[in-house]
Parts: sequence; structure tokens; C-alpha cells
Amino acid sequence: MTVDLRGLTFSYPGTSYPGTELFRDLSLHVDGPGLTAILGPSGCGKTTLLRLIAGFLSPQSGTVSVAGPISYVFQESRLFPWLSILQNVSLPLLEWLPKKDAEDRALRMLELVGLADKAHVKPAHLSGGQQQRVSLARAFVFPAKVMLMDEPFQALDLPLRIQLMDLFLRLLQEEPRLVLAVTHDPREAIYLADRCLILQGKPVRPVWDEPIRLSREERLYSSPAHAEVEARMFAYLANTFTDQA
Amino acid sequence: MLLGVLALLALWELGSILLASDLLLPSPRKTLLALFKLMSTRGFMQALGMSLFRILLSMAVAIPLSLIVGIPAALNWRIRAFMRPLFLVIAATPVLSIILIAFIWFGQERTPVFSAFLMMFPILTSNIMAGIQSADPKLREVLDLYKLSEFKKLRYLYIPSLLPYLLAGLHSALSLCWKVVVAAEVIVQPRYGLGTGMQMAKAQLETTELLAWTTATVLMAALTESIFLMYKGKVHDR
Repeated sequence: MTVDLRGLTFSYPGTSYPGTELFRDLSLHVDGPGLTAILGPSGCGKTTLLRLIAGFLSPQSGTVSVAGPISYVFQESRLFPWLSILQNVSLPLLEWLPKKDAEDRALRMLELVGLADKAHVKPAHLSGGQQQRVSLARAFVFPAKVMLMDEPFQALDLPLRIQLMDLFLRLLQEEPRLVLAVTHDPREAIYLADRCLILQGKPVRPVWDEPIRLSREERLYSSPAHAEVEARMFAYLANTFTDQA
Repeated sequence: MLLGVLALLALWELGSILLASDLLLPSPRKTLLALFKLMSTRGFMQALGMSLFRILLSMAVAIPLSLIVGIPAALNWRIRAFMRPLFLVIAATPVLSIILIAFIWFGQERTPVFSAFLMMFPILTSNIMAGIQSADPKLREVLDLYKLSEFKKLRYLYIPSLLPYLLAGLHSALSLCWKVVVAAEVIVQPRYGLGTGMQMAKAQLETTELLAWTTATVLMAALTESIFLMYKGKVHDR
């Protein structure tokens, strides 16, 4: 389970004159299983990095190597409104398994996220938190080696966010994989991640790259160890914002 | 709605009183009586059945062909550019020219179907293209990520996206279809048809009967539209 970026250069069309690249000669290696959190100021290119890894965008130069299939938890749930929850979750498997088997697996995953009773309901009938749980189930049902997450808990209030993060950690324990998660919230990163990267500058480069070696208890929002890492991270992020400004 | 119908009937009644001539404008009551009389004849039911059959047949041909042309055209600008002149020609050609040309090519019986098909085809195709182009690119990314085949993309994204557009196109095409089929029947005189009945009544200066045929056409168009809207509502609720 690896994601390997070598000499990556990328700029959006129409902005590709020298000095304006979002990434220039960026190299990054991530090993799994485990979760690497990517932080940085808004607009620094965190989501673009995930989209390059997913293959939605192509770099101008450099290579993106991903060992194994990818699943993705998007910022918004991206559920198909005309399909039932069960059909939505089984969708990633339809190219690999007969429909019946795909739906059986999807149903098991829905049981894990506590939504088996909503299997035949359309997404519009679910709350935002439930939709994001379905989105997690869809990402986990697919036997991916690498999972990308783009601020999937951002739109939720704190209790629901913690509830979903716990659910996510439980699923990750059952189905270990390499996870790259973009977030703008250091507390979320400390709660979830084994490694944190802070991206900064133009072109973007990682300016902070540290493992988070805390126990589950120390990761709780209320723990002093959490507060200590958070304070260091905040100081760093504050600098990145000042630099950006 | 009922008030609107009553107002129209009142206006019609008033016009017939003022003109005081059954040749120019018979009253609604007389027209209704003529319609009931017509309904008891075998020829009327055959005419009505044939006109309805022609409309359904033209739709049965137009819907799959519009899908076959519209879906690739929406996904490929070259096909779109290739089809554009044809649509422009169809849109700019007067309906009567189409009917007359079709008459030369296809004869009496097939002309109404062909003319209705030709009128419907560009409407349905452009609606299908708009539906495909309205498909959410974010959902397309999900299907791309999990490497679903083009067929499954069609099944799970494009067809559900185009369905509301197709239904809207069918709704506009349906009333147009009645007009074109009946107009073609008036001109080419197939053996049975509402338009054929109208033409016969006109030739015999039977204005009451002409209005009875016209009323029958309007009622049929309204009935098919209501049935269609009921179906459309059900699809929407699903």
C-alpha cells in the first residue's frame, strides 16, 4: 500500500506560466496502512492533490503511482439521488461482482454503519450525517488499497463529527488501508491521523511532516497531549496563513 | 380550469347567436349533438382509433431513434455538429411542405406517421441531448473512479439524468403530434382518420360536423395529455 508522487508539476489550464504552478517538482511518499492527514490553508491545493492521485487531473510533468485500486470519500456525499441507499453502496462493486453478491456485501456494510434499515430508501430521505455514513460505506465496500478523503466530516456539527470519525476508525480497523485525508481542522487530524503533513506556499510544498504518536485516549479532544500537539500545529498553521496573506 | 372551459363555451354560444348561421358557426349544443351522432357510427371509432394509432406509432419510432441519435450526439461534439444541419432543415421546413413531400414518397397511409415522426424527432433529440449534458459531472467522477463500464454509466447516470428532459420533450411533442397527424390526414386523406372526417365534412359544407370532428380531436388530445401527465407524475414520484 503506497502512494508515490515524483517530481509532480501541475497548474490549472490558463495559469500555466512560470512561477504560477500550484505544484512544482513535488515529491511525496506515503506508506500504508494508516492515515495521513493533509492540512494547509484554503486554496493551497489539498483537494487538487487528491484529485491528481485519483486520476481526475493529469500533471504537466512527474508521475503519480498508486499501488492498488482507490476509493474516495468526497466533501459532499455524492450519492445518486435516483438510486436506493443499497444500490448506491453496491455501485463500486458492480463491475466486479454479480449484482446480487454486490448487494449482499453492500448490505453488510450498511449494517456496519447502522443504516441497514434504510437500505431501500432514497438519499433525499436521509439526514446529512446519514448521507455521509452511506458515503463512507460506499468507500469501504470497495476493496481499495488506497482511500482518499476530502474533508468528509466538515459540514457536520461536532458531536456528529466525532461519532462519524469513531465509525470511520472502526471501519478502518476492520478493513485496513492507506488513507490520505484532507482536512483544515488540526483537531480532526490529531484525532484520526498517524502522520500529518502541512502544505504551504506557491508552489506548494510540505513544510511540516510529523508522525502523530498518541494513544487513543491521548487523541481525545479534551486530553492535554492532544492540546499540546494542536498548539504546535496551530502555531505552524498561523504562520502559513500569515505567509499566504 | 372549469371556469375557463365555461367561458370558452359561453363565447362560442355568443358567437353563434350573433352570426345566426349554422354554416358559419353552429352552437356548442348542436355541435355536441352532432358529435354524439358521429360517435354512434362505426366510421368515427375507426377514424379515432387510426389517428391515435398513428400518433402512438410515430412516438414508438421517434423515441428509440432520438435516443440512438441523441445520446452519442450529446457525448460527442462531432456527431452533434454532423446532426445540426438536419435539425435546422427540419425546423425551418414548413409542416405543409413536409406533409406534401411525404405524400409523394410514402402515399396516403404512412404520411401522417412520417410527418409526426419528423416533427417530434428534433424536439426529442435535443431534449435528450440537454438531459445528457445536464448529468452531474461529480457523479460521473464517482463512476470513473470505480471504473464502471460505459454501459453502466448510461444505466446509472445518463438515462436517469435524461428522463425528466425526455418526458418534457414528449409532453411538448404530444400536442404537436395531434396537430400534425390530423393536418396530414386532412391533406392526404387516408381511409380512416379524424382529419379525413374533417375534410369530408368540409367538402359537404357540414360545418356542424366539421366542428364535431374538431371537438373530438381536441378532447382526444386533452385525454392523451392527461394520461401522459399522470404517468409523468408517477415517474417523478419514483
